[in-house]
Amino acid sequence: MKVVACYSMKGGVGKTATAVNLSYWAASRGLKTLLIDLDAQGASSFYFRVKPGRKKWGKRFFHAYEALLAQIRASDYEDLDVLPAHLSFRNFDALLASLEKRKTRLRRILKGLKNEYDLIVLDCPPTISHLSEAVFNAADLVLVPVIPTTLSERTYEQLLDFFADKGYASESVIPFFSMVQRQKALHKATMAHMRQRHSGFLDGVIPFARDIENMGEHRAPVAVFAARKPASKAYLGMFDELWPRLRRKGKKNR
Amino acid sequence: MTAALEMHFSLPQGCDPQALQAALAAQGEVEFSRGRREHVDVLDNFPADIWRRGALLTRNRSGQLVWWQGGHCAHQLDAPADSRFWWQLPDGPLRNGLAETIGLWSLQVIARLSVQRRGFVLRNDDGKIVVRGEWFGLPDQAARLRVQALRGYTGEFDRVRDNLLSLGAEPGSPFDLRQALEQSQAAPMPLSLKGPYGIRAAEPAEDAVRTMAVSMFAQARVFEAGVIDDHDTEFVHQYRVSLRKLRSLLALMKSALPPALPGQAKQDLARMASAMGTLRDLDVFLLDQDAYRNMLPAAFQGGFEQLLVQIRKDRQRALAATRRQLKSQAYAQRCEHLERLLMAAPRYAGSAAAKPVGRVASSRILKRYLRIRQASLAVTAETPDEQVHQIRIECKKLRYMLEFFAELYPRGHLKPLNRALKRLQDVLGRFNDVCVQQTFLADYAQRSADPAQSAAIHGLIAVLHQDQVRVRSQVESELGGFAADDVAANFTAMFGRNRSPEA
Repeated sequence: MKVVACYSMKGGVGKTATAVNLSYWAASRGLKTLLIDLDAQGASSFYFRVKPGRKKWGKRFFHAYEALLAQIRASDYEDLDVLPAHLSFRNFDALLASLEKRKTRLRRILKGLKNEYDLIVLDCPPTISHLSEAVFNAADLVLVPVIPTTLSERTYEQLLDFFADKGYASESVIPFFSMVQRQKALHKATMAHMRQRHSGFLDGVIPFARDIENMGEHRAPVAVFAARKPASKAYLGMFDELWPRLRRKGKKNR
Repeated sequence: MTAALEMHFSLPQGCDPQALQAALAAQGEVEFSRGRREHVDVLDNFPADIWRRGALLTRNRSGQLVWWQGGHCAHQLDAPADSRFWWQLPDGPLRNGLAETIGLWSLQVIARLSVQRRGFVLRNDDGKIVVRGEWFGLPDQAARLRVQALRGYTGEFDRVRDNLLSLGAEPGSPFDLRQALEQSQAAPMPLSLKGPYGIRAAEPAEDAVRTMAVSMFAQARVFEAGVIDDHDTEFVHQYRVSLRKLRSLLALMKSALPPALPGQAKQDLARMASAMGTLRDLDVFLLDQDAYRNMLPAAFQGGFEQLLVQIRKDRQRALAATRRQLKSQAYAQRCEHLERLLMAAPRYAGSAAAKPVGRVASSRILKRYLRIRQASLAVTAETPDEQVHQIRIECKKLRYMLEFFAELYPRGHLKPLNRALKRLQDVLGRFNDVCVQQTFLADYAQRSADPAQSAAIHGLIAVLHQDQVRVRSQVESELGGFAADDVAANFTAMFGRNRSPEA
């Protein structure tokens, strides 16, 4: 079982769209996939039309994986399940702060799912906090969307500094360009410049596309309602580029 | 992802997709896919051996063959158009399975099925799919429904189930084409080529033998139509085998019958099968044609192909003669005469007629084995072939006796004896085949005026002769094995005086 996190400190950069579409393609390729919506806003749950249960179960999240099992829902697509976000997830940071071994808890909880799934996709909230550290510890790869602008570049470098500071392996950070508008000179220049400065960027980029915005209206992955459009193909390309890297990720860090 | 919870229902009359939509409206919106109607032919050989194995073979309109086992597609392949025999199919597990199951029989269409399949989903207020399933419609049968629970939505599944139950739907097993065939009253009746005949060990031998004889004759007649239609070579073969068995039964148990009966019956039987002997010889040669072709060097291939043309022509002639015979008035009269003879009331005139059939059978079987044993022990490398053939015929009679009366003995006890006998018979049979084929070919060599054809025939005879010498040495060792003390002890224990089967 592999774990990939869609993460960024910034909001609105395409984390959720990536998590949703990546999960969809992974399942289409035959991988038993679970998308865990860690963001209390529940955007990826919304895209899959999955509602959380009524009970406030967030405080049991980090205790035993059995609590998670009861909350998992089948999506409308074969081989793809969703663990929907609950509003109580907004307290995850305070909760983790009160717990021991807070950095490795998520990793241990997810291990309990290894017989059921080939891939777990984590859709993370835009914070840098106890939760994100738990995510960095749990994920084989951290997928970071970067809008090719100056501010995003700065945020990305802050993340790398954080990784260096805390002693996390920077190779597990996989950046990719998101919401790219090729007609914009700034986007083009920033992409060229960043690819020079930082290795590891995915070749594929996700365009700024109306079809991705329309996911909210259709409440489905792009491929379901705009299969032949560039955005859909871009996510498929991203999965096909990412999966070999993820598979190569040995157990050496674990 | 845990295994999905599923339920299967048989729906009440008239419960079509529209009715289901209406019935489940309170649970959410039911969407049916457009669905597809599948027309399939169900195939089997004449004795329905595929059905007997608990399987089903179907062919759809595009020629795809599917082997169903336990409701699931076990194997499939694209069959060449007009393929009717296993050896006409491409390599693979389906071909192998068929070879094992149907032997030399051809496949025939035994039924046609038409199934409409439509997937459905139930969506909640958010448009989320909460229950899935499939609807199966068959003409003149209750529709079937598969309902699948989705993870995290078992409450919705339970409500749908309750709704269906209150509609009168009956829970059952998964939809299965075999079951559909059974319910459409079109399931085949497997044909048993060997008993049981429903006899009891204690009943008088004449009664039992008459029962068996009548059943065997009816069995033979079952193949007549297939012989006339010439579906495959097995009909002729099985027809002849059935008559031969009947003749053997009457001969082997003649002391249980009125003295004149076996002779009279034999006359009828000999006439009935007369035209088919030639037909069978030609069939055997044609079935083995690939093996023969491979035996011959390239120079003889042309002559061999000419021989095949000749043999095929001869086969057509033999078939025509057989058809004429089966359709003749004389044949019908002979059948009637034989049936009357066999069905007549017992007279208990034969010396063993009134004795319990179990005791009679046991003593006959043991006596025959001991006779074979004695002859086998006397065989050396110098023993003439004719003597070996005599033993082969004795073995065949023993085999028939074991088969005819099998139902009188505890199930499974005859197995080791049959196995030992079969081993021997296989070798004796091969030995006989190579001898017979040489005679068969020599006859063609005499008639042939064409040097190429004649060369091919003589080439084959030479190869067969070498084979005969090789098999002969095997025959000696197998005969020794069958005469061994442990086999003899087994026969004595099973059929000795004090071990007659009880009713």
